[in-house]
Amino acid sequence: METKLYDSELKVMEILWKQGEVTAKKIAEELDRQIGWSKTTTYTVIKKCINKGAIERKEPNFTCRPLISKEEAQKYETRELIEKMYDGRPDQLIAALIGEKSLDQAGILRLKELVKDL
Amino acid sequence: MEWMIKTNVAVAVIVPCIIIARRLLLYHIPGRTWPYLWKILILRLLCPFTVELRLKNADIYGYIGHIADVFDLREKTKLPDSHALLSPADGMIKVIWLIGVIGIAGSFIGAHLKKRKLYCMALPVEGIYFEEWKKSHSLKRRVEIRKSDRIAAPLTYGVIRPVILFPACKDIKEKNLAFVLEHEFIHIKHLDVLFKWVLVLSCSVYWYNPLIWAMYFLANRDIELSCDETVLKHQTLGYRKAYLNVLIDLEEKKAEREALYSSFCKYPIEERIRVMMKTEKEKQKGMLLALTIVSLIVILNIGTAVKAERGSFYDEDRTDVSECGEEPGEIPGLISCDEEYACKMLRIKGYSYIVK
Repeated sequence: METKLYDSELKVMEILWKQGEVTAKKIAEELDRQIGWSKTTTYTVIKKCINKGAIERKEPNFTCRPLISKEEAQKYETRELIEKMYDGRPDQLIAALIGEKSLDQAGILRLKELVKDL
Repeated sequence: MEWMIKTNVAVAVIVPCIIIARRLLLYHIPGRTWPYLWKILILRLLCPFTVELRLKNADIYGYIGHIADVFDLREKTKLPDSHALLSPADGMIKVIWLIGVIGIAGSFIGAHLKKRKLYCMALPVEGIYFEEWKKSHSLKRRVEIRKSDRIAAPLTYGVIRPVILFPACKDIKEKNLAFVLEHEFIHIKHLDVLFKWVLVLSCSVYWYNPLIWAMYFLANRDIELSCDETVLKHQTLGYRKAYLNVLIDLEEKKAEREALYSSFCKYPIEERIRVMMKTEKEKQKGMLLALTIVSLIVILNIGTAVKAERGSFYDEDRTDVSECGEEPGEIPGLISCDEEYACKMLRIKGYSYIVK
């Protein structure tokens, strides 16, 4: 997947990542309850996800299946963030995260491990 | 087509008057004056539909009938069928006009629906701050606040169920959020979205008149000026400055331009800032001036309407004559009466048409 998923599309994807294969109708019901979307809005968003290759829709009952995993979407978003904000340098992003002081000691250690693995 | 011509006279007189007054007095009188002026004009533009139709069918012919009664000529009077007034050229003009109306209205509605589809995908905002804000800003209509990563600047849409939409990717601080919410709330309170729809309706009906488009663009700017003014009413200089900073900040991320929503930073910023920095006291001095202008526009409105009513009799009569292929003075029903006497009677009634 090389296209950005918007917030609305991620909302649909989250349901699929949690529940696996779900019918379009069920997604619409869930999102109506959660965020007050109409059925038409949910179907439009699902259609956009299909066009982007993030969802596969099949019979019966327009069952939707995610074609990308949450990790893949996260990777894409992180890559985009690094490209856009940190001149394509992941170490700068990590430096910024540490500088934010929002990380606890365990978080910093985990990051260090990650950097080691890079 | 007569009513169109008559209301266009009103547009030709009133719009330049407002534009000149706006140019001269924008920084001297309260900003809320301008939307009022546009609304008065729109009332004149969109209401005549019914008034003038009634005039055409009942009053004018009724009046001719009344004159015929006076001269005991009813039997000889043949009032023309309203369909007979339509010449082929008239029909053609009407078709062209209608195509324009559908085209303009269609493009506005189409663009709006496209955007609306996008807005519907917005996600609700959560947090105590928004809950508290909603409680302190209650209206009869339920106001919703949502966020979207597809818009560049905050905006409001919807008349019956208004929604305030935030750009999700922008990091708007809580302090600034208060300004933005207040601004959008005033738009909702003033029913500005509805006013914008009415402006679009006027543009669609009078699409061929460039002055209507001038009205459209200026009125949209004035809606923002008036809104800013209401937000900053009775506020300290510090509050004003902070509000302006948010405005400038958002201006950098210029809003997408679209017609049917109210955006926080949509129109020439310099004009807005200059108007906002004028204190309430300074503008109160211009209150009398503002009232004078409003009265003047009301008088002009009524003035053009009265003229139009008389004109309609004049035009209508003339059409009758030309359609009948007769010369003035040979109006059916008045042929056999004393012409001079008939003219005199009509003049007494205030109509100036029949002059041989």
